[in-house]
Amino acid sequence: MKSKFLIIIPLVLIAFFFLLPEPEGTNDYQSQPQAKSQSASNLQPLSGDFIIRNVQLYDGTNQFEKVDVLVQDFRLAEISRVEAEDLNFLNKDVPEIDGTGKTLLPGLIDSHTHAYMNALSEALNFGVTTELDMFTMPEFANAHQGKRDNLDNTAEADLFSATILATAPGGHGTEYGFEIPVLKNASQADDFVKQRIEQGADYIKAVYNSKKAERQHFPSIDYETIAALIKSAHKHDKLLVVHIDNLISAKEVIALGADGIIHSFMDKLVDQELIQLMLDKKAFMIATLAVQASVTQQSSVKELMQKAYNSPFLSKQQSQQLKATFPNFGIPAQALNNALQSVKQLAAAGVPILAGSDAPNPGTTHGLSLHAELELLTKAGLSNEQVLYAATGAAGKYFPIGDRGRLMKDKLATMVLVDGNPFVNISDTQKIERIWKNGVEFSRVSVENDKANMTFNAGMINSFDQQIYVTKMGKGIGETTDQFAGGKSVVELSLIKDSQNLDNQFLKVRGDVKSGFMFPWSGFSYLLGENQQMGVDLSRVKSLRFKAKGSPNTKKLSVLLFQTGSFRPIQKDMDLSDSWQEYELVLSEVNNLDTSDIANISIVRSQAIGEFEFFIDELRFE
Amino acid sequence: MTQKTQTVATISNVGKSFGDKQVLSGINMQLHQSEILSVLGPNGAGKTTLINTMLGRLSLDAGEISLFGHPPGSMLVKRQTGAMLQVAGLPDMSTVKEHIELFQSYYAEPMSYQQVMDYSGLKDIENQYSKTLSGGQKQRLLFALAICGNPKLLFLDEPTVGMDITARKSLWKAIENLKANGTSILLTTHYLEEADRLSDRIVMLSRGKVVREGTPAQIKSQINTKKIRFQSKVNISELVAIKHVEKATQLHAENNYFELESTNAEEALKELFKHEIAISDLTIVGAALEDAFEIINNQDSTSSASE
Amino acid sequence: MMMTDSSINLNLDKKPSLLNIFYLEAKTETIRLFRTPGFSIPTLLFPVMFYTFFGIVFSMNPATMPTYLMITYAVFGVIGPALFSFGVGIAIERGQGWFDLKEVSPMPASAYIVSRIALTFIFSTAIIVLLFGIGAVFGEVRLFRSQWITLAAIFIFGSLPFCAIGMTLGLYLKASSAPATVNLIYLPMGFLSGLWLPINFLPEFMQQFANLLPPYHLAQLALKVTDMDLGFPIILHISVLAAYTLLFVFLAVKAYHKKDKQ
Repeated sequence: MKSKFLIIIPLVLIAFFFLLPEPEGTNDYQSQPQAKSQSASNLQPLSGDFIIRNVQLYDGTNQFEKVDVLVQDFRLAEISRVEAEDLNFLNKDVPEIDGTGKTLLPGLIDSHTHAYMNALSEALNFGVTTELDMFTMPEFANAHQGKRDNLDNTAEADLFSATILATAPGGHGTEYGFEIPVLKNASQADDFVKQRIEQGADYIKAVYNSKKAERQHFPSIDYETIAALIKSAHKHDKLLVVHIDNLISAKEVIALGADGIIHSFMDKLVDQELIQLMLDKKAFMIATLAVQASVTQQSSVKELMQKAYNSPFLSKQQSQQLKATFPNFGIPAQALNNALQSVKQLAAAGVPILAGSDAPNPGTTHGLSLHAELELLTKAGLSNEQVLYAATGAAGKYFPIGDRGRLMKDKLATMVLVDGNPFVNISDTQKIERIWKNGVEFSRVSVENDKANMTFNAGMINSFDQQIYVTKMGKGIGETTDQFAGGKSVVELSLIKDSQNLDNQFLKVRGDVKSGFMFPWSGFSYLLGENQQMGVDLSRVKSLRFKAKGSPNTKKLSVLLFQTGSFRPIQKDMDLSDSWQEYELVLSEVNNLDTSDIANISIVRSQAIGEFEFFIDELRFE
Repeated sequence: MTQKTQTVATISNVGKSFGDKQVLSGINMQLHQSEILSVLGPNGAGKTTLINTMLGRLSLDAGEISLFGHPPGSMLVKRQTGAMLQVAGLPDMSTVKEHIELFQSYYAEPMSYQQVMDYSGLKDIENQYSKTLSGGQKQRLLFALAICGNPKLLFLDEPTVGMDITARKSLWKAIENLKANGTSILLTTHYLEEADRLSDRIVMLSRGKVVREGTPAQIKSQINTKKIRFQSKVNISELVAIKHVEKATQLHAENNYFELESTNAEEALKELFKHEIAISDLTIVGAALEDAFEIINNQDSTSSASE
Repeated sequence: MMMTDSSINLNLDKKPSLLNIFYLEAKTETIRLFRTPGFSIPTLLFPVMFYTFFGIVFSMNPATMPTYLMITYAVFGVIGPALFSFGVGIAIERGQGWFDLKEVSPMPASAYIVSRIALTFIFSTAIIVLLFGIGAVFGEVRLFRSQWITLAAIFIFGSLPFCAIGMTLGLYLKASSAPATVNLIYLPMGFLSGLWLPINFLPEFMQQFANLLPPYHLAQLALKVTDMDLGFPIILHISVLAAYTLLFVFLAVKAYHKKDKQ
């Protein structure tokens, strides 16, 4: 009896430990897009063991004009000068690529992005093998951080992340609709840092605007708090980098010991004081000229998009991101030159510049925008070699990313073979022939959405005669306010009987737009697709039509049109009167609207603070 | 009749003090095979301390103890020893059988389980939890634990406390059987009848010293005191005045029973008759061990008082 | 004057089976515990209940809390049996006089200690299985097999310093006050070490204080497996635990020999 126990119980315990569940690879994409493989050179993918002959090599710090590269067992086994004929090397029985006229670079590193959804595969598709994310949700970050050291992580870029940025209540970062922890004062800094680290942050990012800055365009953590954050991050052995957008804020944070600033600034030219501070503190700057060009409406990304070596590899969503624009912040076009000049002076003085795009902000996208950034950095006056360093070895020097950004013997072959010589013409980085991640070739894809969008035809959406929420086509109608993004506005939807026509009812939208969020709104939203990620094709529809009536305190409403995946709508304002009027919004007349891919149409009161009331009836497409 | 048996334990000139209090001094004793030795004495005489030094729980300040030729407390000795100590409680949730089997495992050649049952009379309750045992049953279990290893040397500290007369007699029988089988037993007890009945030899301690040693008969015989009992209507003061009477007690007020103690009973009787006191129901009894005990103690205290 | 009597029919060299003694002692202790559900069940359920409440039902961050608290409550859960079995168990046996009887018997002292350690290990395993099970099923905790196993090993062997602490307590405390005293040490120590709520919820000075407490170090060691610790070096935590073990073993030995003076 006893001996049976002694055998059974250990067996049960062993079985128990085998049954405990392990993490699965997460599938973040709602509808996994079908990838159409389109390798530029139409050759079989080469992985594991192969030779590249006669190629120019940049290893992240040094340039080698003509070398042969042997990749063995997914690692860089030999790099040898062509002249030194090594018989063993030459006679290897592995496939060969002729590298004449081409350049082999380390996998590129985008030092400032925001990664979610398909970001990491979009990046890899353009030779960007590592992304340093500066704000994303921990769930996404953890799922991908966990993979980055796996040998078989060969289908996406490696992710490092700050997870949630450090910002003040109502500050920059809170406007995207995600519930994030904020800092009210310096005493919360250490706990915040520890929580980020606990959530998997590789480094800490903070948003800061000095009280002394001219433009106070969002609430910011104060000086004591940023000082505390820097101290706390360093105590826990993590970098602390700061989003700033003006010179004085940059000076303050660098003086306090921030490891780097992750934007250049456009308000003023850099001065000697900041240059010296950055040299003394050994701080770096991530220029993000790409997003600044977009902010000042001077992005040349449209040309880039159309190049034959780029356009087939951009997904629809990426194209939309590149075409999207920022709202007008009132920044003069000239301001971009400040940034370019500042970057030039900093680089000339020896301050490290890293390449980061701030994708996927409007006018930018993952992968391609890093190449745009490289072009802008040369435009700013950096040498091609400095620019290539900014996108490879520099990131590895400052961020804890291991060997990434360098090509070294016996390390995994993560590299990009481009046609041409980026040391002469920086745009050659876009002429990608092959990409390898961890020694496995990645075949470039053009990510097409296999599932075509549902098409809507003209017809009634909701006459509001019966009820509010269910629509004849689409997912339905619901309340929408800026509470989604942390604001305080409220709304109430109700049905009112038409006193003149008993069969008819109409929608009353009543609410209160309160200040709290930067762009407050309150009203109702009509979701066309399954969710905000799935749009509907309205190209067969001429216009959106509805009847509307205002009230004494409500003379205007806004129609917001959301493209698939976008959180910034296109806005069309309409004047209201005291009596019922018919309104028509002709879709083709709306600028920048891709009618084939609309996810949501909202009718709201926007910006104007205060109570409001308006009425809607017979919402339909024609 | 007494054959030369082997010495199992030797205590030579043992002394022990706690602080400046001398608890044992100059103790010399021997314990032989198949022998029951009782150690007697009033509270504070040093019995417990002596046992503890023999068990190896206390170190000596003077002298030596040797058990089977080895120091007390060594594992070799322990494996030949069993002890029954005064224990307030046992772990509740083991059965009698489990307790015994566990203790048996400590010994190289334990007694058979059946034998332990025979000696201790616990067969009926072998599967009961020790929680549920009565006082007497608990004592029997402790006895069983002491003997289950088939020890050559057995320490019994107040073994029959809490037992009824039947149980006590069974235990005495078991002890005698063990002795017959070669075990040496060191016994402490408050029941002088028990010591008298079981012991081959007795050692009497008082104030940390051995004051008497010998067989029960020898000790008793060292005391000449006899008790003269009778019924009489006499006044006790008259009795006290009689020569050779050391002590007079009135046993019962109502029926006038008296008891006289005397070391020279014959002379005392002569004097009693001389006084022509009318007596009836006369008996003369030799000293019991209890009496010897008391007397010896008194002797001891008077001798020390006169120092 | 010693008399060596070789004529006595003794075979002093015969020894009982040590393995058998260890096995029986361990089995006895374990059976006794199973037969005392009044003690064993609360000790098992206490950490399980708390974990279910704070780690799963009222979890503040469902992504990380269930894993984090599963680990800290496991630490809490394995310390209990060590402290109680040694601390209270030994004190009570001393009070009964039973301890003395065992001391005088040929039971090897190691068997006494090893059997209680075995009991602690068995108990700890039960608690770990329960917590892991609840975490995996209800808390969606997902760890690699090597992590599950490493954690279990850390918890089980990490109870040894607390066996030493318990042993010292058991030898010094009075039987009547032992349960209360051990509880007075166990519960606050667990709380102040950040086992009930994550350490960073406590104010700064309390977090500093936690550095003095061994459960804090054991928890940090375990949290390293899932990269949820505060980032101090492994060697620090191991050193503190080893120091506590050595100190309390020393104190226990001292307490044991002090009894000579009685």
